[in-house]
Amino acid sequence: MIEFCGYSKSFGQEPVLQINNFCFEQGIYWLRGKNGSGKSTLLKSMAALLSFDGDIIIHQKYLKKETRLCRSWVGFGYAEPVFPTFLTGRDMISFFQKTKGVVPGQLDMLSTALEAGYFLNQQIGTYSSGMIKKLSLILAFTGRPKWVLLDEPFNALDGQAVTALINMIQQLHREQGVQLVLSSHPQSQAMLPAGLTQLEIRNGSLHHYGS
Amino acid sequence: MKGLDHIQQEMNNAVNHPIDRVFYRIFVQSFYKQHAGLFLFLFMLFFSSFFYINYLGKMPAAESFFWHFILMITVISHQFMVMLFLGLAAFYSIKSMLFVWSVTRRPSSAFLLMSFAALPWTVQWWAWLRMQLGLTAPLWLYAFCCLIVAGIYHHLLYGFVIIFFLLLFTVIIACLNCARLLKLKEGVSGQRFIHWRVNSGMQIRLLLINYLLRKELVALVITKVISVTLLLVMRNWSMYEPLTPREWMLAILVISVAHLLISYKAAAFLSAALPVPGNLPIKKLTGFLFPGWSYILLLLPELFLLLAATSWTFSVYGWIMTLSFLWLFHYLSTGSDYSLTQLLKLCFLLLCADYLLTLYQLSWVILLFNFLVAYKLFHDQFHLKPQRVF
Repeated sequence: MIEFCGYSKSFGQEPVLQINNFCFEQGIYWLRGKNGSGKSTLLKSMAALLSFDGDIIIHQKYLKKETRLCRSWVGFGYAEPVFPTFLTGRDMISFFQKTKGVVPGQLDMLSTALEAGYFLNQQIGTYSSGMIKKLSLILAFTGRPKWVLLDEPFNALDGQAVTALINMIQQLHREQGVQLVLSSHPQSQAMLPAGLTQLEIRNGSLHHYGS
Repeated sequence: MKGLDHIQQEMNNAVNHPIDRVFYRIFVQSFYKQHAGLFLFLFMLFFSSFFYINYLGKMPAAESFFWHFILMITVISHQFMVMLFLGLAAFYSIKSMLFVWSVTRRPSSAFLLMSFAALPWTVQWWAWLRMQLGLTAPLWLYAFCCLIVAGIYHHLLYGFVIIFFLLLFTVIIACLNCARLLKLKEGVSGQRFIHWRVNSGMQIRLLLINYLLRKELVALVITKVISVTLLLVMRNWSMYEPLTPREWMLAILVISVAHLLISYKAAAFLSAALPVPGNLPIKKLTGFLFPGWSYILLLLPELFLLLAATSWTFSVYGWIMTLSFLWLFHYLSTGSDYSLTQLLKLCFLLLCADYLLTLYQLSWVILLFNFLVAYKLFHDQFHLKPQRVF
């Protein structure tokens, strides 16, 4: 469970988000919002990648106090991931496995699902944007994250990869109890499976969609 | 080239731990690649040019090897040389730390926050320490050679002092790197350096020192190393034989000159941050004294060292003299429209005159002149030309 307590985020003097009280229960969430509405900012705050005012509680732990622990529980996928070009995908995965933990068979499952096995030994500098996106998705799921936050997960992926990702998300949620928050534009609705809890960022605040 | 590739591959394989391997590729390898020119320059300067051309060129090749030992013996045979080496080591360590910080700020290093920053503090610290040891490997190699030579020539104390301080620098920088990554990112640039327990009024007064600490740290450290080392040497000399006021004043001139670039940078920054101080609701004198708060803080180490070495009246006098130079350089920078060439020419002429005045023990004239000229420049720049378009 992720709870917001008096959360607010500003860039300089410009307030971006204000969420006084909100709770993410277990499930798969779809975070909707226009460009610049603050979706990425919200997800980065939840992943302890960005400073903010107020606090966020992840599984009874205050994020500001237990930053390191909260980071270990959350996997995050950037909308436009960038990695050092001189490393290989395998280097990155080994690094994440060392820092976030190794789950036997997990890498095989993820790379097979996303058809990523054939390029992981190449340097990231040679990857296409779709390959980089697939690598970032594998890294977000590496270890035993309780929550996975994916910012624009379908960007740069082809139709086949989108279907594979959706199936993988549902499987991980069902079998391993991973909770997910996906963010995307309202236009992505056709790609998403039914039954997601839809949230919307409107006027700098978080609402249940349609409320 | 095949041989070099092979060595590179061997080195990569030698770092087996996944964290060390990634750190080695991201930080250590990039640092050496980026600073290869600097290392080559230092090598040419210290080892080839200085020793081989001037001395070793005339010697039989078989004997030239021992000149390296002579260099190390020089380093460990006098406290000044030990301090010089440590000063350079501190500068190198800070440079390596700033490099690491600049790399961690890159978008391609954002993955460190999601993964590495989730590890226990001690694991992170050890990884940073190993990485910092890799970055400072040339210093460690040299320090161990010094320790061996120090053992042979019975100067072991200096050898251990070098090792101890090098270890201290490495540990401190590992801690700073670790703390920096653990902290949540602000998401906006331009944070203040001094921000704790200081009210907003004082924050504005300390604007310059904040800027220097955040943006001009390398220039600041070089200046301080020069200035503090000179004062320590002067203090050391004065323990053997009291120094004359003239000698002290000459040292103060050198210390002031060392701060020229800092004042220039600070003035240029202030001009951009507060373009028209004349239009601000502050008194004229307050505007003139504005840079003083930061400069006073900046020169505190010199004040303490002077107090430790000479009488307190002379220390305060010498310190105010240095302060007056900083003020003068600040407003001369403004007066010369931030042209560094013009400023250097002006300062060269002024310092020649100051040097002569110091020899005739007329330092009070310099002090008065500095403040009066600085005030005149401030007055002309900001109050007689209110229509100036910035």
